[in-house]
Amino acid sequence: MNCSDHVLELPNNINDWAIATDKVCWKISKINQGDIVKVNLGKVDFIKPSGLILLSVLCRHLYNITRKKIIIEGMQYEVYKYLNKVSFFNVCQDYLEETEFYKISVFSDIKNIMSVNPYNTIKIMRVKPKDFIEFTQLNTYIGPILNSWLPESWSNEYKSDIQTALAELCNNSIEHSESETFFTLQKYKNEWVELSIGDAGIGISGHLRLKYNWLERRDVDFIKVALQGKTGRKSGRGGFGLQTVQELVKQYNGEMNIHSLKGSVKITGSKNQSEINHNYSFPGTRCHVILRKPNMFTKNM
Amino acid sequence: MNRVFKLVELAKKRFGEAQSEYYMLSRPIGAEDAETFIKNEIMNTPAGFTFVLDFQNIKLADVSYVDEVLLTPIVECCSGLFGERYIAVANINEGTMNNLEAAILYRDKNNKEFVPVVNKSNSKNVIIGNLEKSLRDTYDYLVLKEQVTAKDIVNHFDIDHRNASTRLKRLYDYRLVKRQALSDENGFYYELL
Repeated sequence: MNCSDHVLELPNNINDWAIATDKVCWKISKINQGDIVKVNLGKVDFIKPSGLILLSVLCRHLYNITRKKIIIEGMQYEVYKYLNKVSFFNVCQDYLEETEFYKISVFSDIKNIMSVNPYNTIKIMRVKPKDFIEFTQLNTYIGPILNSWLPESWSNEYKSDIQTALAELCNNSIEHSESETFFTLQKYKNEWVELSIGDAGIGISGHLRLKYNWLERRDVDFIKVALQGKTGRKSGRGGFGLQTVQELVKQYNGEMNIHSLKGSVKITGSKNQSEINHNYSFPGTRCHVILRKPNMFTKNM
Repeated sequence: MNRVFKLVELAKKRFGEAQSEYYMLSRPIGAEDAETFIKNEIMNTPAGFTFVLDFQNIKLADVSYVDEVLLTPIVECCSGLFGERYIAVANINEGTMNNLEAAILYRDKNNKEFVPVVNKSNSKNVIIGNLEKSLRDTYDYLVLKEQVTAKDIVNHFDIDHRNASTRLKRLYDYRLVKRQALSDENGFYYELL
């Protein structure tokens, strides 16, 4: 078999899925099993949770195709520092090529993944398909982290709602995607918390088509239908997760961005919803949510 | 008369005794807990008793979990699956309460199934869910009196007997109140869970 080398240069706006994935997807279609892939981050100035999740899912997907470990190269120092801080190299070590550069600074102690991070971000987490117990256990570490970020007594409801949003989105992925789930949280400027969740699985349309044979519909239509409470479960029960998160986005004057296969839907606050039909399909589903810290006088009830 | 089941005991079995906080999350875990434990515990509750699902020391239960572990058994209870047994909750914290209210709302909106829940907290019975005004007023009166007949409702609200009976029956159909036959005349008396 002839194997090729590929260099996948990620765009600067890796944090914006709508732009980043189309620039990358057409190159992925040329990659085959056995090929060597280098993911070049030279143009990336900074990474946020959304970019971190995209990078994790991308590397996982590339490994699934090639069955060879992926090489990350060209990192600027600030990007490397961030990826190290969130334990990206450690958590994703199964499918990242180990280099001397990583060995110097990587956390080798797996337990450190669980330690409370003094920064405003947590380490990226990775959960196997259907492993609800592991995800539930991880919340016993996330709870104290949120308490350290938001120690004020008034913030108890806000913290519960953050964990509810995280649970509903992660459990959707863990239950339905048939793929690993990655997630992370980060606090910004003491003003809002961002949650990012992603997988490289079957996507929302892949799940809904189990029950609804809407062959003519676009991926964006399936996302919108899921937001209205439809589920692909045979029992017909549920479909409450995305509705719950939408309501929290409205309550906390936030944003929600869902990207699944060829479709994206963005919801801002209580009203605005925009959609994109991408040129290329990127596997799985990613969800990014911003929940703003409530102003005691202006929380949307 | 109540039979209390502490959900934290189930959490300890699943996650171990050593944790400082317990979370109950996800629909599959809720469905498994409902099928494997909760329904058996309900059936082991004596007839006429209220099975109280106690959420003390549960840090958070999400919308999907409470829908499976609580609302689904209540629907089955209303259909007569558990005979003359009733279900209530107790010691729900604010975060889980928000999620329970959301689960009730979405079940009604998505499945056209309204499932109000009795919350036994601080020695008071409170209904969770958006009960229509006439039923809520009737329930509040029952809370005051602890036990009422249709005649009591007629006299208090100045409505006809049929209307009064319907209100009480609907509260019973939701399993928000207990119902016992009157010994010396036709009809029932109704009391709190």
